Amino acid sequence: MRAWVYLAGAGVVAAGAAGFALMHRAPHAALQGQWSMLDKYCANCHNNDDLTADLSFQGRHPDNVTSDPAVWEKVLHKLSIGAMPPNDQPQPPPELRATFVQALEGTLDAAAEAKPYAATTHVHRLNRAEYANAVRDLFGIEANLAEDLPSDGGDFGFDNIADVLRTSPLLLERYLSVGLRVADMAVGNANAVVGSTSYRIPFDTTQDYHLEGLPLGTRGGVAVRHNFPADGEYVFSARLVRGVEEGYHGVEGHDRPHEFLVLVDGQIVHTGEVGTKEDHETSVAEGFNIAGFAVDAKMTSAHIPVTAGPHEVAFTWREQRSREQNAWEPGLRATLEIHNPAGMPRIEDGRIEGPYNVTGVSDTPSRQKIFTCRPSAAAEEQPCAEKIVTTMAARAYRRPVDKDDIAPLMAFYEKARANGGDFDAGIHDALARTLVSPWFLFRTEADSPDAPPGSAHRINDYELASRLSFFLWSSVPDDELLSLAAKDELHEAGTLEAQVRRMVADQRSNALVENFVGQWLQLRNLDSRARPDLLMFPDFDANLRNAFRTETEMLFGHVLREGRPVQELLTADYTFANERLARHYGIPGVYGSRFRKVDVTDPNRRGLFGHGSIESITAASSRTSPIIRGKYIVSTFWNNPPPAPPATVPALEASAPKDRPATVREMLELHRADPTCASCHRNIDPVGFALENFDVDGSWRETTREGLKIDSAGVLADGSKVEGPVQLREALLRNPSLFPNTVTQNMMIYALGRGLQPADMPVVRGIVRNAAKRDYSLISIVLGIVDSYPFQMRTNGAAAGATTTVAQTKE
Amino acid sequence: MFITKKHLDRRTFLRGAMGTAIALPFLDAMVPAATAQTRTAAAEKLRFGAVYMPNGIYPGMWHPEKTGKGWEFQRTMKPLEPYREYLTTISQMKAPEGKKDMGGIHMGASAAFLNGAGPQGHNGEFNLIQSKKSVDQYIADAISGDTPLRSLEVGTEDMGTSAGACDGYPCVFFGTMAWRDDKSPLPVSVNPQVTFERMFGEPGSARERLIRLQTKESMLDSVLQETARLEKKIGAADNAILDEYLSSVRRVEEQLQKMQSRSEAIASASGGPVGIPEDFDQHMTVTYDLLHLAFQGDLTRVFSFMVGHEASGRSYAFLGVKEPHHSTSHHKNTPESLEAYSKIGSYHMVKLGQFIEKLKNTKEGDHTLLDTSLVYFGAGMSNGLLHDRHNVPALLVGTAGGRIEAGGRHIAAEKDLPTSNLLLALADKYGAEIDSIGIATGRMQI
Repeated sequence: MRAWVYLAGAGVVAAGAAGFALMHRAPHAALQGQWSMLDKYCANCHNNDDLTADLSFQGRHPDNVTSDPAVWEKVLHKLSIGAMPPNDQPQPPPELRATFVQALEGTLDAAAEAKPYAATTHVHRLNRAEYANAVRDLFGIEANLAEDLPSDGGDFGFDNIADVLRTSPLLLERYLSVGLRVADMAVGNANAVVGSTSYRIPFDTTQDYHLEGLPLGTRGGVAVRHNFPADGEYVFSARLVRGVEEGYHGVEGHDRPHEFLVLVDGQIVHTGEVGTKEDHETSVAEGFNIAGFAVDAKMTSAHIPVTAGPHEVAFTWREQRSREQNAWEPGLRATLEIHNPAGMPRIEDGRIEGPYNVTGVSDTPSRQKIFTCRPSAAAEEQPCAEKIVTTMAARAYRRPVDKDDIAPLMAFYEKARANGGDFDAGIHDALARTLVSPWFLFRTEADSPDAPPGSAHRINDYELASRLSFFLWSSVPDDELLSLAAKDELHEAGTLEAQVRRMVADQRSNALVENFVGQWLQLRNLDSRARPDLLMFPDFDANLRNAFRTETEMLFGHVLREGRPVQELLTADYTFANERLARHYGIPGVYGSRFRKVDVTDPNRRGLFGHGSIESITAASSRTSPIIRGKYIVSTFWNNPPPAPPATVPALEASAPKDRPATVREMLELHRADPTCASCHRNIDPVGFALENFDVDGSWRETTREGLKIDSAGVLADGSKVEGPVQLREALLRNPSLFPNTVTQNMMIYALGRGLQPADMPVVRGIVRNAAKRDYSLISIVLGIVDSYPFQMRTNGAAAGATTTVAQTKE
Repeated sequence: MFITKKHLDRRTFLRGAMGTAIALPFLDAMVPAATAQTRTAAAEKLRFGAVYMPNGIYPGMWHPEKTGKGWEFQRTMKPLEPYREYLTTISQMKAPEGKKDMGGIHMGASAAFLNGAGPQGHNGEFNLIQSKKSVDQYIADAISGDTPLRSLEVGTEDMGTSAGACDGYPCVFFGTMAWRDDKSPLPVSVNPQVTFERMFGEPGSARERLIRLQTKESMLDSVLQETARLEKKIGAADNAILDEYLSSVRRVEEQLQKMQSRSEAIASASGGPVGIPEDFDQHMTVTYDLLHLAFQGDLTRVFSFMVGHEASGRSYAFLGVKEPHHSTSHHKNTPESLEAYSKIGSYHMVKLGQFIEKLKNTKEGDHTLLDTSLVYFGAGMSNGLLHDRHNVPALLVGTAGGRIEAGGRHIAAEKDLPTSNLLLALADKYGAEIDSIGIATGRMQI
C-alpha cells in the first residue's frame, strides 16, 4: 500500500517554520509546554462556572486532547483564524499563539495518523443533477429532467450527501415516469402522439441585442436543443411578451416591422413580420388583443419536416443593425415596463408541437449508442437484445454485469414482445426498467468479505471509478475509466493522476464547477436572491444575472484547469466578461455577447469579492445588508459561520437618534452595544461594511442613495483594521493556508458526499500542506482529495461478511 | 374551472392523439366519471387539508376582537368575509417553541405545524431525518379509503441547499410538514405538472395509460426482488436507506393498483399544466386548482400545502411589497411596514377564498365538496418580528361533514393552549384514534 496523503509534507508549512520541525517531532511535549496559555487567555470565560459556549478548559489536560478531537479541532480553528480570544480581551503574543497552534495541530495530526478514518457507505443515491447527467452520458439525451424530479434536500451545504439522499413514494413515482420518458426519447417512438413543449424566456430578459448561443445577426430570443421523438412534421411557434392588459408588446409604433425567425440547425424554416402597418392599425382600431391573433398566426410555422433526435432550434429576430435603440421612438425602445405596449417585440416562449405524419425513426445519436447490433432475422433477435441490454446495463450500473443482473431486464424485453411489441419496443421497456434498478439509482459499495467488520479496506477500482466520476463529472464513469477498472489499474498512482487531469480537462467537469461552486458560493441562489428592485435598478435584467453566474463559474474553471493557485480566486487581475457585464463594471473595449478573459485594472474589482454574483446574492432588493453579506463572507471564506441568532431580537428603535434617520452603521452599532448581540456581530458586521461600496446590483458606489459617503472601515475578529475589499482580501490571505483550507474542507464534503468528522481534519491539513508545495494550485487540492485515505478507503459494516437472508419481497 | 386562459394558455397543454387540443372540456367530462365510480362506496367521504403560511401573520391584524359570532373581520382576514359562515377562527393558542433543538426559530415553526414535534435530534446532529407522524397522516389512516393517493403534499418552493441555509439540519425538514411515520418525511412537490401526473398519469389514450400502469407495477415488483439481491451482495442488510426505498416501492405499488381500478376515468384526463409557472400567482392558482381536482375526482382525501417555506426569500413585489417575505415579517412596527406584512397574508386569504369558492360550487351527491371538507390554515408563529409563538393564527374552513359547528365562530382558547391540542381535536373529528400528539396537554373543544 502506498503512503496516503496524511501528514506527508507536514514539515514544510510556511508559517513559523523555525520551531516547527522540532515541534513535529514532539508536538505533545510542546503542547504541554504551552498549556498555560489556555489558563491565561481562555479560561477567563471558558471555565466550569461560566461555561461560555458550553466549553471549559478547567480539568483538561494535554494527555486527553486526542480523546476529544471535536472540541480541540474547534479550538484549533478558532485560534488559527484569530476569532478567539475576542479582540476586546487580552491576546496571547503572536509567537505563543503560533507555537500553541502548531503543537495542537501536531498532536491531533499524529493521533489521526495512527488511527485513520474512512466511512461505511453502502448506498449513495444519485441526486437529480447526477441522474440527468447520467442519462445524458448513457443515451446522449439532454433534457431538463431536474424539474421532473423532486429536489433532493441536502446537508452540510451540498445536495449530494449520502445519508440524507432518501427515497419517498413521490420520488419513486417520478423515477418510473421519467424512466419511461427517457426510454421514449432514447429509442425514439414511431407511434409518438402529438405533444407540445414550451421553452420560456424569463420575463426580465433584455432582448434588444444578440444573445449568446443564438446565430449571429439575430437579436433576442432563445436557442434550445430539442429531442424530436420521430421523423415527422413539427410546428414551431412563439408568443410575444404581453403587458398587463394582455396586449402584446411590439405591435404598435413601428415604421419598419421586426422579422421573426425560426431556425432548425441553423437553417431558417420560418419567418414572419411583426409590427407591420396592419398590426399597428388593427391594434389601434380594435385593440391589441385582436391584433395579437394575427401576430400569433404570423409567428406560427407551417408543418416542417424534422428527423428524430436532438436538433438546435432557435426562436429569434433578425437584427436590424443600422437601428440603434432610441428611447424617443416607441418601436426602437427596449422596455421592461409592463404597461407600455410599445417597444421592440420580445419573445415570451418558443414552442414545438408534433410530430405529425410520422414516417419513422431515423438513426439518432441515442440509437447509435443503444443499438450496438441490429437483428436481420428473427433468430438473431434474442441474442442481439441480450447484447444491447448487457452493454447498456454495464454502463448504467458502472460495473460488469452477470446473468442475475440481466434476467430482470430481459424479462421486460420479452414481455413487450409477447404483448405484440416490435424489437424496439422490447428494448424500450428493458431500458426503462434499467433506469429504475437500484443498481442504477444507487452508487453501491460492498463490504469486503476478506476484512473483519469495522476494519478499513481499499475500495475496488469500479467503486473508485464511480467516486471519481461523480466527484468530477456528477455522472457515470465513461468507458475509459471502466476499462482501467477492469484491468485493475485505475488506482495506480500515475494512472490515477492522469485520469483526474483528463477528467478535469473534459467538458463534463463543468458539472463540478456548476454544482460545487453553485453550492459552496451559493450561486444557485442567484435566481431567487439577486432581484434588485426594478424601479431603483431599472437596468438590472436576467442577462446581467446570468452574466454574474458565468463570470464566477468561468473564473473557477480557469483556476482549476490552468493549474492556478486557489488564492487567485480572490486576487485575479483578470476576469471573464461579455459586453453586458463589462459595461456594468465599467471595463472598456468589450463588445458582443461572448465571454472572454479581460484585464481588471481596478483592484477593488479583482477576484470573487469584486464579482456581482457574490455581492448581489447578499443584498436585499432595495438596500445592501452588511449583516447578510458579512455572515456570508465569514461563513464561506473564513469557514466560521456565526451561530443562529436568538429567538427574540431586542428592538433598536428606542435608542436610535430621533431627529434624523439613522444610518445602517449607526443602527448596527446600537445593536452591538448589547453584549449578547455583540459576541457575533462584531465578527460579522465589519466584514460586511468592508464591502459596503458594492451596491445591491454589484456596481461600485462612493455614496449611499441619501448622498452619505460610504464608510467601509472596521476591525475584524482578529483585531486587524480593514477598509474596503482590497484590505479585506489581504486580511483573508494573511495566513496563507486559511483559504486553501476552507476550499479543501468544502470540496472534501462534496467529494465524499458526507460531512467531515474531526478525524478528517488532519487529512484536510495534509492536503493543504502538500498543495503548498505546488503553489496551492486548485488542481493539487483536487488531486490531494482523490489521493486521500477517506476517498480511497471504506470501512466494513458491522455485519460484514455475514450472509443475509433474502428479504421478503412482499409485505 | 380547472385552468383558465389567464392561468395557463390552452396551447401549452399536452395534446391528444389526433392533434386536437383537448384541454378543459375533457377535464370537465372526466371528473364526474371518476366521481360516479366511487359513489358506490357506502361510507361518507370526508376530506382534510392543511395550508401552511411561513413567516407568521401579525396577530393584531388577524384575530377578531370579539369572540363568538358576528365579529368584525380584521385587515388580513378580510378577503374571506364572503365565507364567514364556513369559518371557525381560533385565537390565543401557542405553537411549539422553536428551540435550537426543535428546528430553530424558523424551520421549527413549519416542521412542528402538523405534528407538534419538529426534528427529533439536536441541532448540528446532521443526517438525522426523524420527526413524528403528523396529524394529516393519522387522518389519512382513517379516511383515505380506496383513493389512489393516500395524501398529497404540495408546495411552491424548492429548498435551496446552500451553505448555512438549513440552520444545521438536513434541508428536507424545510420542505416537509407531513410524516408518514417517524422516519419517513413526505416532502412537498412544487411542480404542478408532477402533481398532475401523480393524479392522472402521463398523457395518452386509455389503453396506453392502462398499459403504462401495468408496466410500472410489474417494474416495481421486479425491483423489489432485485433490491433484496443487492442488499445481500453488498452486505447492507438492515440499511435504513434501502429499507426506505423498499417501503416506497411497496407504497407506490399499492397506489398503482388502486389507480388501475380508476384507469377508465383517469384516461380521459388529457390536459395538464406544463412545468413550474414562472409567475407565483399562477403557481398558487394552479396548485389550488389541482387540489380541488384531486378532491373532486376523489383521487385523494388528504392534502397539505406549504405556500412557502420558512427560509423563503419570496418576493411579493407584485403586491407592491418591496422587501422579500422574510424581511417584511421583520417589520419595524410602523404602519407602513405592518401594512406590507399584512398584504402578504391578505393575498393568501384571496387565494384560499378562491379555493373555498371552488369547493363550495362543486356538488357531490347532495353535498358540496366544502360540506365534506375541513381545511386548517395556520402558521407556526404570529408576529414575525419576534418569531412569536403566542396567539398564532388558526383558521378552520368547513365542517368536515358537520362534525364541527359551522357559523363563523371565533373561539378564544385558553391562553397559550398548545396548538397540538387542536391537532388532537382534528384527529378526533375524523375518527383517527390517537391519544396524544406533539406537546398536547389534552383535546381541545372545537
